[in-house]
Amino acid sequence: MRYVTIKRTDGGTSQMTIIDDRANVKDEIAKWSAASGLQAASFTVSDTPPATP
Amino acid sequence: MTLPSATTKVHLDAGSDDPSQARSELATMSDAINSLITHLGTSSITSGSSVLSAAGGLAVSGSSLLTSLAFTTKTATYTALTTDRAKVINFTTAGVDLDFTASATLGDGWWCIARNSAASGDVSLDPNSTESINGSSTSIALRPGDMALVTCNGTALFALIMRAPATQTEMEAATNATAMVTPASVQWHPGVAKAWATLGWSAGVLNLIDSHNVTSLTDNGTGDFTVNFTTAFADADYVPLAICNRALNTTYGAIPYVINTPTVSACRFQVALIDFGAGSHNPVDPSRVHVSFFGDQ
Repeated sequence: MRYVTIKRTDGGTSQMTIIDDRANVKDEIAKWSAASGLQAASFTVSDTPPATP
Repeated sequence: MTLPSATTKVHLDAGSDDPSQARSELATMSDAINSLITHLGTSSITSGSSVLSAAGGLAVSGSSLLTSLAFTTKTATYTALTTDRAKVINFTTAGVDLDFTASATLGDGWWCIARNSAASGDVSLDPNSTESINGSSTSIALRPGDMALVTCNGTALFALIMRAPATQTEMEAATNATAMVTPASVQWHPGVAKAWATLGWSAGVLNLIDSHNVTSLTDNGTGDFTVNFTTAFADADYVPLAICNRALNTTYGAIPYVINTPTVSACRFQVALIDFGAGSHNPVDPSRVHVSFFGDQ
């Protein structure tokens, strides 16, 4: 799995977990954005889960 | 070709038999085997109704044994004859019939294999006149890819049919009662969930517990998540369903709902903790959320 931290244009943060290793990160962000009504300002990809807030 | 006589000794005793005699008998048998191999290479041996030959590889055909099949292709309606016994009758054009000569003429033990290789459309197995096939005078349809082993007992026909897997169109129509369903084709049936997931929050982190056709999951904040599909829906009119686990409480209830407009590739949910007494609600991270999606892919 891969973990994508998305900094949104509204100032919030979304944490994406990509289950399918074949998936393209930018494609997944585009799918998320269209369905969520949220936009990504920037993102980072990690192989380790996010830390507990 | 001369085979060893029945009285020829084939078991030799090293203690009592003359070695020179043993060599002689072994040479005789070796010659006989070589003669048999040479004979099969150019000719055939007939025994009753069976024929053994080695032309182009060893083959046995006849009423009792068979290791090769004749293959004939048809592009129009065709009537199977007695000479089509043990043949594969392959149709490359659909919308035609495989008719059969009267069962009494075909005889007890006659058989053939019928196959529909056309890209679309059926081939009908049509018994002679009022005769029956599988106990009915109604013809049997072979869909594209179907095969049938048709046998005759001298009075009627019987067909053992090997069905091809259902196509996506057949699965989505959900009306075909004969096509074979494979693990891959189940996904096309309208009554099957196209995607599902169980997820939950632990110490504020959203975890995926199990899923099908989900490529990624996004935590957008407290009680707010988006599910991305691996294989998209054909349209956005699919049915998203969700339910939460929540500790028993007579005052509060956790209600998941869809927010924003779902797309063919993803769907966003929020979960609200409803205070029925106060009439208020706030976002909440439930211990578990179960989501499933039904629709056309």
